Amino acid sequence: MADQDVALMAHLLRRAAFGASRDEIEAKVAQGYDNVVEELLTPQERPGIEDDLLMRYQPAYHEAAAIETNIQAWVYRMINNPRQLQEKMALFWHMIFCAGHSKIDSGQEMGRMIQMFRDHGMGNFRDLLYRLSTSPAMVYYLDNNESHKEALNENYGRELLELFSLGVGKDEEFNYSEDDVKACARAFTGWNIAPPYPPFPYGRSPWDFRFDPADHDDSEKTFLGETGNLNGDDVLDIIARQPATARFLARHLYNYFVADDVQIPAWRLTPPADMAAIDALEQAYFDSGYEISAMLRVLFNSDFFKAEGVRYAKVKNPAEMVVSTLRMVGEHREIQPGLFELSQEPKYMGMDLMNPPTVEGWHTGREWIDSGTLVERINFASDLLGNTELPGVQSLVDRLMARGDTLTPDQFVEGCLDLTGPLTVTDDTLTELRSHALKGGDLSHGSPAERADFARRTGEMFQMIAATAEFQFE
Amino acid sequence: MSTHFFGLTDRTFEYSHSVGRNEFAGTGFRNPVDFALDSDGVAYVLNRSYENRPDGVRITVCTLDEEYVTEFGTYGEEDGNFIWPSGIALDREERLYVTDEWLNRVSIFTRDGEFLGKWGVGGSGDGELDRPAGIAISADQTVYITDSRNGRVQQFTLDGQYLGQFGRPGQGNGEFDLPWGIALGQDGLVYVADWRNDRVQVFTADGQWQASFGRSGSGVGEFNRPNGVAVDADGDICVTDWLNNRVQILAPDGRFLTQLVGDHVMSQWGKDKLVSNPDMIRQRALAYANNPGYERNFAHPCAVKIDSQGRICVLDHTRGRIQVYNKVKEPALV
Amino acid sequence: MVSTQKDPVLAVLSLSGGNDGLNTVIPYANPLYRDYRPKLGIAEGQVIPLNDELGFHPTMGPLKKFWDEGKLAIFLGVGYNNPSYSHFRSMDIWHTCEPDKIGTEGWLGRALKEIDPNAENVLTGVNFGRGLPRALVMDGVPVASVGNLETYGLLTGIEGENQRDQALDVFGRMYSPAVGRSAVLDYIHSTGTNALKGADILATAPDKYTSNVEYSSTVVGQYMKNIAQTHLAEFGSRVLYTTSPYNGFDTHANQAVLHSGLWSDVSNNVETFMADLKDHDASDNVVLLMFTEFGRRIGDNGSGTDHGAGGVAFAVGDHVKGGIYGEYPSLEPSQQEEGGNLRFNTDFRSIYTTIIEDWFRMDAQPIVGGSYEKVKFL
Repeated sequence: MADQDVALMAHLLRRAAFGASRDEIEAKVAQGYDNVVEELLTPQERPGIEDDLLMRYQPAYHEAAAIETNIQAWVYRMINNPRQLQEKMALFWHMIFCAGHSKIDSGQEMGRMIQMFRDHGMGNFRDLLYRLSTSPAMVYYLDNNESHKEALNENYGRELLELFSLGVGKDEEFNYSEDDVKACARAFTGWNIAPPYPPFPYGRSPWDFRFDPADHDDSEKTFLGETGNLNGDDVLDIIARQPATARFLARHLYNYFVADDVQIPAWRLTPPADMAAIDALEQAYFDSGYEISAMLRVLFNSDFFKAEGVRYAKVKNPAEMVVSTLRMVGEHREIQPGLFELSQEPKYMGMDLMNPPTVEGWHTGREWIDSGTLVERINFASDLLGNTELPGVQSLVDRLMARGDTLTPDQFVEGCLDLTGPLTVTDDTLTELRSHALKGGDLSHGSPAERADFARRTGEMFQMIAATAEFQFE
Repeated sequence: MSTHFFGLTDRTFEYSHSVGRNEFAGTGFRNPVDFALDSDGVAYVLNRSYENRPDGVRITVCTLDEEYVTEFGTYGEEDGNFIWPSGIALDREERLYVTDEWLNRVSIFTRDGEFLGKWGVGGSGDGELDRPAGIAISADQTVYITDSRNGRVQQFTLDGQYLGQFGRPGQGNGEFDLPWGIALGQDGLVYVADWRNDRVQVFTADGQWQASFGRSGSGVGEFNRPNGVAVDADGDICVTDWLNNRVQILAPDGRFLTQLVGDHVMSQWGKDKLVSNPDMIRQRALAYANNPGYERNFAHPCAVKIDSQGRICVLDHTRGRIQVYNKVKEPALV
Repeated sequence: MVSTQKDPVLAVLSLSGGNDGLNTVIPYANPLYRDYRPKLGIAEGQVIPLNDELGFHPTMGPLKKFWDEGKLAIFLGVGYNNPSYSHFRSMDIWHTCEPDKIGTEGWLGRALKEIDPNAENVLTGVNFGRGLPRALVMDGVPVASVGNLETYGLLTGIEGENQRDQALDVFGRMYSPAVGRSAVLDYIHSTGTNALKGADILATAPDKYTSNVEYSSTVVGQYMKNIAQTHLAEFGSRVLYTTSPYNGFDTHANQAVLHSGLWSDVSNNVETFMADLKDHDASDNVVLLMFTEFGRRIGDNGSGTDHGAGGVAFAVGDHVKGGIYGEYPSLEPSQQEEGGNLRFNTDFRSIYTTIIEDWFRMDAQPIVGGSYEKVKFL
């Protein structure tokens, strides 16, 4: 198996999935890159999580009121959903279409919103915006239920344009005016929520969207130059046609799947790092009639995605750090107790899932890292990768042993970096890892004592690799 | 005057009342998975709770008239603890036997919650357990356990000595796919909720296959992951049809008699909760107008038992309550 | 105004889950209390009286001593307008002082920025617990979050002191400055170096510490001990923060047993903490604040109480002027907040303002987001 094929497949699975074990990576290489991309893009054609089993063994995951349980259930799905890109896209949309538990105060509604992203996150963008606009959690989060024909609340109307579709501007121009915000908000008046049962004593009922025609402003509006008795549906049609929407989606997809870009507020004035890539994605958006999967297909098959220059060009977000490490070491790959504590780890690393700090979401890239979160990231990953009793780590030790009866320190370091990535590190880092390995001398695994020492040193080297700055990237 | 009627008309079922509310401690249940009823009409309700609320993993003891008695048990692996408690049954001396499908063991308690002992070891050999789920104890003190991932029913003495087994994984007669609930009829027959095969299978006490009722679906006599089963004095078979949110009642020969979908009216503990949260009373009034059936109906009923008065008691998992039905010979006016 | 020789230090114990104020500072002489608490009312004979009207929960004897010494401030009817009954939202409001919009900065984060604008000391603020409470969040303010002070640090999973030392040595060199790296890599390297520095300093605290007192083995006990250890190690920490076990005070059911256990634990450990500081002659520059995100419903629900408003808060310290601040909210139905709740009369930001101005001697207005009348307890 060619090393460059493994490296490319590992790259694809770090981005389009939450990483994989080495065994899985090699199995996917055998399947062929193009086939794997197609498989990721057509989740409906392959089995997903067995929901009946999940509900039997973890009944609390179903319709749970508690936010912690909903987060735990999501982390379970991130680790185990065979349709990995669905989970990756659910996280993608959660980081853009931000709504947070601190206001919504219903774990179940947060769970339902994520399920909507999971089910429709690779579908048609116009359709997704409709689902978002009728998502009761979003209606509540951005106060659309407080926006009335006679007393307008512009919150949803504004954020829909600024943060969920057009973006403030592109190519130094503004994408919409304050009048457009007002018209947009007016078009969504009457998009409301039916009264749900309160929490006590039997639990909340799921929230239902409800359109109230009596509270809808049906008068004439002008939105982005189009005039008529526009309602929310018309506004979404107009939004979907805008070049700015294509640009917005293209930049977000690039930022999430290819390489860290500047933070979103800078997008009006700062052009994309790779304009040709953005052009190709925008083209796919219009050619397909706004299909997100069509954009993803172009992206994963493109040279700009496969290029070596973009590998490890993104700081892992905390969910990616936690889930990809668990998948690499083979922990919680079946339904079992004990996931709750692990599902809190992203929060300790600065990403409180289902509770983004504001509607603008988390700042990404290097901003994931401060001295507190770096300690959490390093200790989490090194504790797991250093545990040679875990099945995934055990398998890596076995693979390393299979490389030869005796490994020199340099071969050992090279092998460890290959098996935990393949991870490319700077020369300085490599020098330090090698000089540390040199202290222990050559490694062999003939006798039981040698095997034990081999495993111990591998675990230790994995811990140090997990502690490198390079390991913070994906 | 003549009428045409096409069903069996000699038994009807009438909702009596509900017991409980959702609560992690005290007067309520949280993700209850099974319960047992003693001869005094006291219920022992096994709560699975949430993983982040290990305090809610416990057995709630209360009467079917909502008198709270006590609670015991907690999350963990020590003696008397549970990780994934699954089934509960009483023996003739009214000791409690609780299966744990993670720890692969049976824990034994007095009715007051005193820990008496445990047995069980993981594996697939004779007498070994892989996710023991349902449990039932016969009049002659034989313990029947659905050994779910081994696809079989195993029989033990009260102290865990292996006596025998029947069934194997599969879809044919006498085979199981992750069986769950188990009940014993007065005639000694064994009824098993063959969960993933969407059917109920009937065996003699020594494991001879007798019958199989049901298939996948949501129609009459069809099941979607049946998990609880009970047989009453008339031999009628009550099955919690988990993902169809209903209880189906079959005649002894397996013919469909009727279904219960839930008729909940606020329990006393529920009222207590609302009295101290008056704002929710107002919210509920609006919600009810919008969706009257929501709270009335079953939500994932997962266990059913017959009490000493012949009442049918349904554990309504997601809502944390028991709905109690009377079986009346004279039809109720509907 | 207080003046101490040493820099003033604020210790915070957040009582997570919504403490039932009505059964903490009990209006034992009020007949309405009996009416609303048929199951959970504390018998008059068991209440520890503070005066003719109010008394402590029976487990709060250790705190009563501070009351008798005039070192305990009791804040009644604490809250804010339009109370939120969500743990998360209400705690956020207490943390950010933003009741009307979602805030991202914490009030103590802003205070730390004032105290140490250039983040010269990585330990000016220290949190004990996993994950940073939003109260301490602020751009450019490094706050260590210490899950376990005894084992705090990097690469704690490596067994064997020698092995770990070697690994940390490698870590230190891998993260040392170098030329030719990308800006992001450079940033991560300097962050890693800072983290290692902070961890190295903190790790010395337990070794420096000797004591004659015994904290309980509970989370509250151990973190209060960690706060004392860090304070006594004189790293220059000015805000030391911890939270009782998450939502532990959320006593919807079985409250009689749970609430007694919670207050017995808190009272004993606060007494131990103050005694520990006093033993080391290190108590006169510390104020301990205890608060909760909301009170609970006036009426019990048969076995517990549900989320409510108008809570109680406490401050303890040598420089605290003991007394009762604020009014006990009326239990009369006509005076209640909607939904069977106590109506607040002391804005929590008044307490913060007093701490910022009279303890830290800084301008409170930008930190708490407005002008609030001080509560003269310092």
